Amino acid sequence: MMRRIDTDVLVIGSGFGGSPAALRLARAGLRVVLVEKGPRINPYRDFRQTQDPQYLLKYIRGMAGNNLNLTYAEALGGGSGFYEMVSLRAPRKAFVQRDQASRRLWPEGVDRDRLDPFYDVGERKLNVEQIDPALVPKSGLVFASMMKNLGYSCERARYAVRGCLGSGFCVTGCIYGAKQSLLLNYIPQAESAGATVETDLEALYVKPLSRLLPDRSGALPTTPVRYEVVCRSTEDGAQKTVFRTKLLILASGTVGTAKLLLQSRRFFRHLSRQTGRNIAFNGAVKVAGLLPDGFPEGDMFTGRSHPGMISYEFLESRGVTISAAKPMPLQVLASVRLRLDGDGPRPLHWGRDHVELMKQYRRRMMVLVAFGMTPPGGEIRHLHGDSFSLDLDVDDSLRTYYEETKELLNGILSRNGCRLVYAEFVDHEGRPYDDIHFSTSHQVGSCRMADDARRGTCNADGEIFGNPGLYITDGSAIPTSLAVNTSLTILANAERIVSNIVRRYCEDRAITRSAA
Amino acid sequence: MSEPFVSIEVGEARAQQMTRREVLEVLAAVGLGLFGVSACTPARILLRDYPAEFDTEPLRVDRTLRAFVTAVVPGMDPSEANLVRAFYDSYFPLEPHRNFLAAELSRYARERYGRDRFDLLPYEHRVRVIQDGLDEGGIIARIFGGAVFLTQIACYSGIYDDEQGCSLVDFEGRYRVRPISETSYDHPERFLPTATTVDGNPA
Repeated sequence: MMRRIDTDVLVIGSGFGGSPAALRLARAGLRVVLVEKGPRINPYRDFRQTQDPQYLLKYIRGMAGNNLNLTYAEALGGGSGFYEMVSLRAPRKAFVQRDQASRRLWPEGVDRDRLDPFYDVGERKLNVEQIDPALVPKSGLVFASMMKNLGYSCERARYAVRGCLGSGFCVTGCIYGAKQSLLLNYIPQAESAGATVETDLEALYVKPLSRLLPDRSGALPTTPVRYEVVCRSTEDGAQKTVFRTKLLILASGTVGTAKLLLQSRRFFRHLSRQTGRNIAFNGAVKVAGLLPDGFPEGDMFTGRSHPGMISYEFLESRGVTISAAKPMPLQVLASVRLRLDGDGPRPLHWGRDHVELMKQYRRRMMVLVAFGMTPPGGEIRHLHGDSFSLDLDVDDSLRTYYEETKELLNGILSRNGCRLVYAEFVDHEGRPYDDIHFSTSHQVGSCRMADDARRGTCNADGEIFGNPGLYITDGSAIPTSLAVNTSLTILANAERIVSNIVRRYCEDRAITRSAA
Repeated sequence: MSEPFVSIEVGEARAQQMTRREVLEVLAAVGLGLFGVSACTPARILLRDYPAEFDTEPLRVDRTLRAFVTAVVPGMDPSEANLVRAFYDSYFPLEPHRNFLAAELSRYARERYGRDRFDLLPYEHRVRVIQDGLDEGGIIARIFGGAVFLTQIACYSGIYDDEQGCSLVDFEGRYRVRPISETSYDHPERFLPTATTVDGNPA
């Protein structure tokens, strides 16, 4: 069974990259269809406060690779339903990162100053505010006091939230509608503006139509239909939908957009060879320790999921930010073996000793995490069919970064009198990794913006080189690690790209749906 | 999304709607995978090579698995209803290997202590038997390691009871309304060091 739908704009992906595109272009009067692979979510009905893997795995996906694991969401609203709602602007330092040939990684004209007006837009939309001191969770305050003891600075972080109750279940979905996921703003507003949202629909491949005609006048009514996208229902794989669209916006995330383009490569002879490469991953380094006697208690299970505080003390000198973390039991047990440093290895990751350690987890354990401006070194490769690989080459400089950052974090713990906890990260079967292994949900850059096709997939306007009307607005376009959570920068960059699309196609003429 | 401390290496749950390829992809990514082990012929033969009574005596399997779980997470109530549920849950890939695991625990118990009944061994002996399986290498170690992994996830996370959580580690399950004084401290300013930014954003 086949459906055929013609539209002005097709947006693939409904996260921080796709939702702004759907909203702005629908408001500009264009016919917009937003396609999401995952299911539709009603936050008040579908989210649960649970540790049940079956629930989480309905929405959360993982791509496991050599030295690198990526976590992302497949659901309406993308990762916004499950993020910690930390919403920070990327530091200026992030925009001046350079490659090994000393060329700036961000394209000409895109930097913090250029993004700041669009950060403003996103912050207003998501109600981003600095946390009130009275709402900082205990673990965040304990972390802050540790930094204070050492003479280091620390900031109250910023969140997309209205009326937080501190239930502690941000990462399983906020059932109160306090966390400002895209389900509460961009997406319903896009639908109100006329956008059609189709969920449970997976884009299989993208194909340019016979000739990629350039825009004639810059206005959409005279713009030819240029792309065809074949989708299949994730509920009934036999059901296919073929979209034909004038403008195509790819926003299925660093993993999804790369996979879609790589699977479509046979139709895009000039697609940059950089596509799928250059994945930046915010180099997360994590350590843990037990608080010494006399220190106030933390609490892993109450207060918002992110502990409220972040330190930029080492941003300039080492390119890292540091915060505490509050992993829930499932997050800990599924990823790491914990034992007290100095104890023997067996059988302390289970049994009586492990229970004694876990009993201290909630109130006496402090977990620190650093995000860093690690170079964009991950790569997704298309193997065959819909099979892909993920690799990260851990070279000496990355190894040095990891070790030095770990030493920095452990130093913060030990200089505060903490007993270090040895954390052995494990794979999907619970087996320890042989080597350094990075896990992140902050992946960006697989289809990055660049000044030319030799260095990236799309230009500074998000348009894929050589393919007029084909845009990327998601994290895959962000060229570097940011050392902070990536959501707000993805959103701001999407708003920037879409504002240019609106200017290019819509502002010269009063385009209405009927005219289009 | 939250930066995983870990990632919960996850996949999809709509198994009944998924192709076999998708299911395998999910298992590979989910954290609870284990389960390429049964894909090759030698593994398949091995995993079916155990005494028939473990297929015909479910109570024997149940008490063996309960003894296993309370050795991996001592302090769990041995009579707790959900204690070994993960081994019977077809969502998790160890379910088909449950009887094999119970049989292997009994075999190791017999070899090391001369007793078939793993569940009657004292804690230290059960730990030793489990360690024997983990030290075995190959598929046996993967089954034992996967069972330890799954047990810890199921117990500490309270995956089958959102109301109860896991009292052993003071995890209360779903949120209960509590005053802000329980989630933060009075006079929080006393904890805060100097800030270097106006609004929390980095320069």
